[in-house]
Amino acid sequence: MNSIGSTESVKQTGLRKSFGDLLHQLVAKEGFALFMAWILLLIIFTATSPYFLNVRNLLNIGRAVAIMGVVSTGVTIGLIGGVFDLSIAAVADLSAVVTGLVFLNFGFPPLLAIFIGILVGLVCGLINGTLVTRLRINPIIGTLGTALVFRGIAFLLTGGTSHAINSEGFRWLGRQEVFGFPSAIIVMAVVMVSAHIVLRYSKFGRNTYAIGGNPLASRLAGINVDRHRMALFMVVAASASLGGLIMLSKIGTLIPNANAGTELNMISAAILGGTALAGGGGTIVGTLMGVLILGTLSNGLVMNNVNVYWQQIAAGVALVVAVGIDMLRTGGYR
Amino acid sequence: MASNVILGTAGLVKVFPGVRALDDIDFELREGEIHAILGENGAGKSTLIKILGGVYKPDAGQILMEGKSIAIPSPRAAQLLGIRVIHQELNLLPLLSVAENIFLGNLPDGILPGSIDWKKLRSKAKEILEHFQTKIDPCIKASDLTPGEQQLVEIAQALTSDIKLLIMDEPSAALNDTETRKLFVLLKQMCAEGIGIVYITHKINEVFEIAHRVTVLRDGKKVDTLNIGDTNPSQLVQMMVGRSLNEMYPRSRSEPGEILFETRNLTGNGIFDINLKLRAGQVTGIYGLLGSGRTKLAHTLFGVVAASSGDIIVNGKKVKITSPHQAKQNGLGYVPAERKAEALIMPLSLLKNLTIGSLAKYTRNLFFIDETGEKDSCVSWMKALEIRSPSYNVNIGSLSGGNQQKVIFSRWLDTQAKILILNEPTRGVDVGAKVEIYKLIDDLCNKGHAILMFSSEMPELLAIADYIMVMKAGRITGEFAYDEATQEKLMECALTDASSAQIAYQ
Repeated sequence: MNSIGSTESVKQTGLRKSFGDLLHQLVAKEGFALFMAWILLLIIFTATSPYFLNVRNLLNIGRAVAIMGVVSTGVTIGLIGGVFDLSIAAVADLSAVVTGLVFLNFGFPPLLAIFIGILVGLVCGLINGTLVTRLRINPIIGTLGTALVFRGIAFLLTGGTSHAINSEGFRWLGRQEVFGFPSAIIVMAVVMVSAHIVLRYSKFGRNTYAIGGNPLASRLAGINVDRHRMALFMVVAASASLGGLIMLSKIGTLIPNANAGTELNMISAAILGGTALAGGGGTIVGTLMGVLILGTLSNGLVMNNVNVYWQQIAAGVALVVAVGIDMLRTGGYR
Repeated sequence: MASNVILGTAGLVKVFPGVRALDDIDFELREGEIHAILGENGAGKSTLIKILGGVYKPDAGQILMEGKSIAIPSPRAAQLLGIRVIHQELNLLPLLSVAENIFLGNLPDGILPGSIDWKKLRSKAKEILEHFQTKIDPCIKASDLTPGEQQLVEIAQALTSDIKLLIMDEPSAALNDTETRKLFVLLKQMCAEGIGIVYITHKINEVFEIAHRVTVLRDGKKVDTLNIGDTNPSQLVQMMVGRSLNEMYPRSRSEPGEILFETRNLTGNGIFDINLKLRAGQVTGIYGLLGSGRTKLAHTLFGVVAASSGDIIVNGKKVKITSPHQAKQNGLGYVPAERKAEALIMPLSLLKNLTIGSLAKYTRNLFFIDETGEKDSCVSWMKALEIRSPSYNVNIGSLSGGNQQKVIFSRWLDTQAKILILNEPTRGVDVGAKVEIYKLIDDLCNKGHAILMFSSEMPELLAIADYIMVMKAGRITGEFAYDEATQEKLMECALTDASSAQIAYQ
């Protein structure tokens, strides 16, 4: 009896130890703290509002963050490689405007119109990339400038007015349900999974981390840094135009400033998710967490009838707190 | 010589991640003494003066001043104690005048509150500079001075406050012969006035010229402190490197092979008419002082900056190299001088740093990285080059300087680079790792690589290179075969006399 009891206790401590190890590994893993923060938010809002925790509302959150998810994914890839783009909201709107107009005025089929919209995004990225990598203009200044230009063009093309787009051909991007599941969430999932695979398993992804981590050393290791950065600008802009097109599909109306002012939210979600502003670090899983936290926060506050202005304040505080904790952990800004 | 101790240390220890930079250092400086600290790069010289200058806090041990234990928490505190450090890289504000630089933080007040009495400033600056017997105009900008003049201005700046000891970190590194001479006169004058001087160097001849005593450091430990009369150069070398010369520089080369790389009249980016021939199985060395154009040449060869005229010939074919990417495709590899800034990609692991140049080789299906193949190569390079690390997954920053450098070598070997350009390959690595790098260079030669090695350390170049060229002001000013090169000959070609340098730049 005695001996059996002792072996059992040994087994138990062994088990406890491995559980402790597992916990330790999880906590050390990037994104885990954010995941816990998200769970905490879910618990708080479930406790405070009877309307919060149900499938419909959770899908609502998903639908609401889908655009942010798509664009923040592009922003994350860019930031990891040291590419900063302030023109994303303007690119999203310009792409949507061009797509809508070629459909309305020239009768292009929706799929072709969408393709042209993405093409517009790629050209915008090419312009941003040229300014930064060829003319060596500071990316913040350069993309601030192009943001004004792109938005100006969007207004010029529409004459500043909005137009209704009533075509089934656009619904699938942002308004359709697939087996009761919002299509926008599926688009976001596809984008995020592909981005994760590219970053984690491809040469392009590896080079992106290297270039963001130390551009000079990457260049001296024989990587074509300028060409890669150009590609990153195009990736960021393409994700922005896809976001703009989802928005177009969702609201069914062509508005030249539908996404105005959202660029900082997109960047915030990436940073909240642990992407290094200086480049070299970040994951899509982290960005997903950042997007979910911001989306849940905003939805939960609505469910609790909190004044809409408080949502912005809450989002801002969440960003500063999350980055602050990270800085304390890693040694901080110098 | 008075024997009052101005400053001493007892059992000083400083530990950095992965390296014991200073280990149990006892040191003392007497009044009116020039005390040389001698050691190889990485011996702990800089760490010691950074502790005395209030930049680092020691992890253990004491600093004693006039018999009392003191703390030096900041550079400002060091200044208040009368300790001034003149760093290797000079710290003048380039856009301010000489006079302003000298009295910075101590400018004479004018009539209005917050204003400056410019007249008084100028006359006081002039007075100090005359004391040094120089003809520097106190009104010109600091950026218009030669390195030697800048150093004088820094010393002048130090003397405006009440100083007890002056620490100079390799002051002669950027000076030509006449400037060095002038500096020595000035230092002797200062020590006659009772100031204690700590003179850091790795040049042995300088020690015998000016120092009263010498302390030798090696691998963070003090080897000994000797009166200058009780020692000789070869003893000091032995103490510095801790082994005999044959052990230090392994050399087992056979006959050189064919020419792999050649330049003809390469010009541009501050270099002029460079003609190089790199042969398989041979080390070509290039010696030059700071500002001689060494790094500019290395960068031009590797395509960091494109040459404006002249030809580059690889394996007998004329090629264009206008980016490091092209250089890599032509079989070149470059180990840069500033490892942290130019070679290491800090957030990434050892493995990812090693294969970053050769990822194309591991790409399968046009997309995925073959991670197994990558790991296998990494492990085999780690074994071949004896890279000491617990795993290939550790952050590159956690390795010692020597192991980091071997990873960078492996990066290029993994790209199959046959022509290796090494810029100060042993900078910032300890003596043991240096020997391993010399041995690696020797092995690579035997495997048919052509090596071009830039170095400012004459002893290693004389021992390692089969053929030595000397650079000055962007030009090759001398070429010597292994058995005809000597320190004196190299130095003669390397020293810039101001007038000829001026002509070269015009």
